[in-house]
Amino acid sequence: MHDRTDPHPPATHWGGGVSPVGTGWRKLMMWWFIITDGLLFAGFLAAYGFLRLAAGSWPERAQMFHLEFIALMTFTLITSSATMATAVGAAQLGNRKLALRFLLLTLLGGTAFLLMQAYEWSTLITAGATLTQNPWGPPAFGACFFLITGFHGTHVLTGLIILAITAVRTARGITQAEGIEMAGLYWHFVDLVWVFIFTLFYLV
Amino acid sequence: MADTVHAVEVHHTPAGFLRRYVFSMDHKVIGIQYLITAMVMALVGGLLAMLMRLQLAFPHETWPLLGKIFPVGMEGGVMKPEFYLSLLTMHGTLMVFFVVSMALLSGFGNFVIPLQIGARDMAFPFLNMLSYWVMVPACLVMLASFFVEGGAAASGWTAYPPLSAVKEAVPGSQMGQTLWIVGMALFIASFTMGGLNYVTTILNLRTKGMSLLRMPVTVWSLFAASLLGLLAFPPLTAAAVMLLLDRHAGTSFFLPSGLYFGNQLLENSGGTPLLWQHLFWFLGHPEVYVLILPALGITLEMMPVFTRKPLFGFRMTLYCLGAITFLSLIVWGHHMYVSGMSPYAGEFFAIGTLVITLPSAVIGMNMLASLYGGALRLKTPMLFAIAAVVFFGTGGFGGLFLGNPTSDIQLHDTYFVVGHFHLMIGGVTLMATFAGCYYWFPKMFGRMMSERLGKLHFWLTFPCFYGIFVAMHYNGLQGQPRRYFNFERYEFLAGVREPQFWITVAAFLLFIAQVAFLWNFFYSAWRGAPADANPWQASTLEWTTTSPAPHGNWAGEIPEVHRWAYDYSVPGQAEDCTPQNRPQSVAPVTY
Amino acid sequence: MKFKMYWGTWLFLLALTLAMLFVGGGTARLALLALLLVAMMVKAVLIGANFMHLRSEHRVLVWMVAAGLLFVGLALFAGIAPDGIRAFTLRG
Repeated sequence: MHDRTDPHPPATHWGGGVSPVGTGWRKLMMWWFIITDGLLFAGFLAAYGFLRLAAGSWPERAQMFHLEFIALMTFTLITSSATMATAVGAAQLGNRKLALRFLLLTLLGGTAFLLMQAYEWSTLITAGATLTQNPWGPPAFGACFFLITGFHGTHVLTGLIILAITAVRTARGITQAEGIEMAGLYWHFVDLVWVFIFTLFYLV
Repeated sequence: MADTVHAVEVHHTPAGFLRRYVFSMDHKVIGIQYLITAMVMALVGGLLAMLMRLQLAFPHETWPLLGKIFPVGMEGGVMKPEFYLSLLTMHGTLMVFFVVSMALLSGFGNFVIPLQIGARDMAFPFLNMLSYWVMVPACLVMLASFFVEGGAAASGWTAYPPLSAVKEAVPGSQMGQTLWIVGMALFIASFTMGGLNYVTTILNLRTKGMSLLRMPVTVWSLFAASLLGLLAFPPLTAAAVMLLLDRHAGTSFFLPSGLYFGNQLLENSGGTPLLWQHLFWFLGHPEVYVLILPALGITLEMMPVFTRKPLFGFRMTLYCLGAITFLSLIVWGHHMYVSGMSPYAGEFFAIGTLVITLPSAVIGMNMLASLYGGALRLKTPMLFAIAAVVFFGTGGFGGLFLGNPTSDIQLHDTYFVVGHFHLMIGGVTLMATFAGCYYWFPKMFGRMMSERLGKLHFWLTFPCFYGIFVAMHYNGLQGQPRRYFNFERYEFLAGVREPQFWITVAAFLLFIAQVAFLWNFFYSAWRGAPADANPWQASTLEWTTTSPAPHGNWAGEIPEVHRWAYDYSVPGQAEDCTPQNRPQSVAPVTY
Repeated sequence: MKFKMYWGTWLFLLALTLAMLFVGGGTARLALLALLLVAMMVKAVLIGANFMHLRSEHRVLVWMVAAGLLFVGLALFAGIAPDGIRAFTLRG
């Protein structure tokens, strides 16, 4: 669609200047997108904190969650982040095969996480917790929990789709290292959000 | 690698009407599309205001013709109170988000940024086009909400629960409110796409020599506003999601227990509207700076061009822009002094608010100092720029009273507030928008707008606007509350009846005066006097290319920048304006 | 091993998570709460610095992310969440 021949050779044509942030516009845009997306979660978590303090009492975590299972979920997500980082590193070294292998491992980890989350949700729903009800105390818990973990799950799903596309493109050899890096940035961001959700929902 | 391949290097004009003018990826076309869309929305928003003024000035009259146009809201020609609420809600929403944000940030942001920093286009032209084509459905959804059952949303542009969260509350709380949320979601999506483009373009696509401190102040202000928008909108998105759940999934994020509607006790419990107010104003306050910063930037941009002297205190202005950007994120609570928020927080927010007046005042003073001793050329853009300075001063003065909790408790929710924010985010921004339109029009269409019609437009707009909103301050001091559809019953408000009438007269005059502008804009685009490349003898980069600028902005190479943006009246130079691309060896750099 | 940093970070994150699980989950005392929040921030910074390569990015980008996410996020949280106490007291 685009004519990519540059009418001015790079020596005379100033194609972007020296960025004060030291990266190309793509990565910069990705970072700003991550900042805005992160603030979306910050908004949710602030509301959660507010409602929890406004409720006065809050259900005991141990009676609702199986913390060992949550630990397993967290382990899966952190591991998928590490495999993703390795895939990015491999791609930067030009090792396409290794990058692809670790991309697929990341996909596997992400899928496992989603399945475990689905299991956790169904356990809670079976026990009687919904968006509007909470058998263990204030209904605000159910609303906050399903809203925030649901949004995080949606982000995981989006990340998986991006990863799948990246994997196919890497297998075909049409992805640049930068493409894998940006998919990686998004994936780590999803992991980053989980760090906050894990602490604020299950531990505090 | 990444930076050498972007679509802007394609600079042959795309063929075909659709690709060229409708689904265009050219930032100039997108900017003009945004401007014209904003004009349409402004007309709608203005008409809504006229209906409100009509009701306020003549509460006992019947208007059979209007009864035919609005068979539900004005049945038999008499306005229903809930219709009045819909009017004020949609007037606020359209004007704040779909007129001022759109014209200043999306319109001028798109048109001006690449031209002033010496780029061939935005960083990501496709995303730019997408952002416009998400904005169009956002506008349509908002407008469509007038025609659904119950009418448009009626909870104010702030969408406070429970009016916005309980479907049974008022007729507008039904489908209209849902459409309002959907429209806002689309708006935020579009705005984020635009903001990402502006930030990356400004940082990464500047031409050679265009260091950050050599960027024109307009670009700086658009940069600050884009950052603010990107940072402040996500929490509103979060709040909107929760509001949707409250409305449609039965949750109680914003609804406390014990609410009665239609003799029915609602089942909700646990939430509070206070949470919505926090989340909303976390966006809402930065949003007013998203509106006013570009307006200040454009106003400052006019000063050197039409006084023929360098901008006063350029660097200090930039520091102040930065300080405002930072502080505006932590003063949202000054909209909530009477909300039940912790009074200790109120103290913090009051101090922050008074601190933020300092950089604002410095910018105002720099504007005045830029005027002082200049060789004024009172062309239409300059007239509107001076009007913006006037409004900024007057409106800012009212802000001092509202930023103080002690006086705000008295003035809260009165017409004093209405007058104040209309002077600031209505007056300053609209004056700057007009100034920008008259100023960049030759670069958009290669023709000049008529000076005579422009001056007529100005001399009708300025006094009417000023009169309307200063009078509202007076009415507010009398205790006239906002959002009431009829004041006849209140004896203590007998004193505001006469000003009410004259405000309506001025408002109608103001609305009619805009015909001069619209006619001038569209007729001049067609038949105006041809403009040369640099009709105002300005120094910034957009005037180094032809009018209108070609696809790709410069036919040959992008000019290289050798000096700051405001080298006017350099001593020893024959011309009083030295363009940014003139080498240092030819003319000395003054800053 | 070329990717020692990533897997070192992974190990550290896991250890932190386990330690947090060990102390958290019950009725938190204030000191414990502070400890958990500090550990949370350490984990976040580790992911940002090592996995997302912020440690090798230009410092302006690092500041941008820190100011954008940390400052604004904290302002949002610290400005809004504590007011829940006020809502609770007003409710009586």
